Amino acid sequence: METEQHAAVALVLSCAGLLSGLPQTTNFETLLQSKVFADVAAGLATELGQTSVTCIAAFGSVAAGNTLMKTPLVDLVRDGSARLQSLLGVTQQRVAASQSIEYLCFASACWLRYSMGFDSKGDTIAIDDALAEPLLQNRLERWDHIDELVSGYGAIPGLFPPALASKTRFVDRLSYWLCVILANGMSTALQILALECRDYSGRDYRTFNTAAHHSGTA
Amino acid sequence: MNVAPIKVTVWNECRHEKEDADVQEVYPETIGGCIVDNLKPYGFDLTLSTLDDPEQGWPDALIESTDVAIWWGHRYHDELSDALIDKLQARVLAGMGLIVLHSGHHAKLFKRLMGTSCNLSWREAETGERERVWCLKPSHPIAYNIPPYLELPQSEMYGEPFDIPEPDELIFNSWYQGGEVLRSGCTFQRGRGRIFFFAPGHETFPIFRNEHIIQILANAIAWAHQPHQSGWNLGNWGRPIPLEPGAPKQTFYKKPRKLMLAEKAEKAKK
Repeated sequence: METEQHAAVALVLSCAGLLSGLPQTTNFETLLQSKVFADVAAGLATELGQTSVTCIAAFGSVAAGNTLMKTPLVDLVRDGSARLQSLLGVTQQRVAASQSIEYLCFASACWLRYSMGFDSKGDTIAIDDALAEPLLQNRLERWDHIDELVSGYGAIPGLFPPALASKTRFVDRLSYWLCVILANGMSTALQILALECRDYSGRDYRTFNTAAHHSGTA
Repeated sequence: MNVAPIKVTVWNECRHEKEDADVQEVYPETIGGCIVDNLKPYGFDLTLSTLDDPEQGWPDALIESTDVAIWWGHRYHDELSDALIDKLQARVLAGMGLIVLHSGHHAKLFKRLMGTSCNLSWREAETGERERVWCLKPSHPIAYNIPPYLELPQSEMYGEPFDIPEPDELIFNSWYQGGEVLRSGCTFQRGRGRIFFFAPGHETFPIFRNEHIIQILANAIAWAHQPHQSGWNLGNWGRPIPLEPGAPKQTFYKKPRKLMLAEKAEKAKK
């Protein structure tokens, strides 16, 4: 995975972490200790063509000059609209190839929700981003209807690649995940993402083994 | 495969043992002590706690580390604080197994989890009466190594109607000498937590010295044990976008009240 993609994944998960209101979660390392965040990281890694192990290991690779793990979340959410571009590029490729874009669209929706500039309690969040002003204006002017809100985001120059913003499938899924986040709050939205998009094709039976507890009792 | 032992907390009200000579005679080591002693050979990691222990026997660390709780209480259910019951309920919903014995049918925690009165009919004959516990599901894990029925020569009658929600599974049904019957071994799932209610266990009869009763408890512990590491409770699930294309969707979302008021005030200023 490219460094820009690491930074983008870190951006998205940090936005989610800050909006989830987890008081004990101050840096990326503690965030990833939470199962639901690790699940999202794994899902994103899959859509980025990486294994989750490789992806998470890369965050902690100090040897590679990567210190994301120890970085406070508030420092990972700056310049989000620029850092998101590496994920949007992959999203565009996957749309063209008719591949799953659920985690990637969730990631974009996550950043859009953060850019709205308020947390779950209604306290203001300062957005440090070149597009902060048009993002805020769009939220203020088009809040009353989700379709107009999403359409407004699509029209902000430099936010989404025009070729992607015009794809119905991308707009539908982005809108879907933004709605889920707005309706449920970030914490529950992460759980819904895990439930709806989990890979159900395999199951780890190791943790269900209780046979050892019966040995010698018959 | 090397599996860590299941952490079992046997919580015993343990007041009868202090207040009643007849109970002291039957259970000099206390009811909880007897259960712990008899479960030791099964290899569980057992902790005994009581109502009179600090934090009513449930310090936070114990709540967090317990895989399965066994509950015996009777006279002093109301002494348990609602805050503690809140924590224990949350822990069951997150995956802690719970085995509720005998008069625990009226425990605050059990009633909270059932959502009903949990009332039943009862009779405490001085010398007890015969109870025949029928095993209705011999293939169920809780019935492992249990005969088709077992007889308890002295028991307290607990009979229907038993005001509980429909059990997920009915493993045992009891018949009493007086003619009454009871759904005496019931399972329930609440959140990620598995619950087993088991009726036998009156304090003045040596029921927890019966090898079959102990086998049922051991089986129930193994059954109720859940792997907790991946557990979380789903929040209230808003589904703003319907599955069916073209069906009405939610288009407007409420802002947090604080933000709404702040924006309203800002508009008023202008």
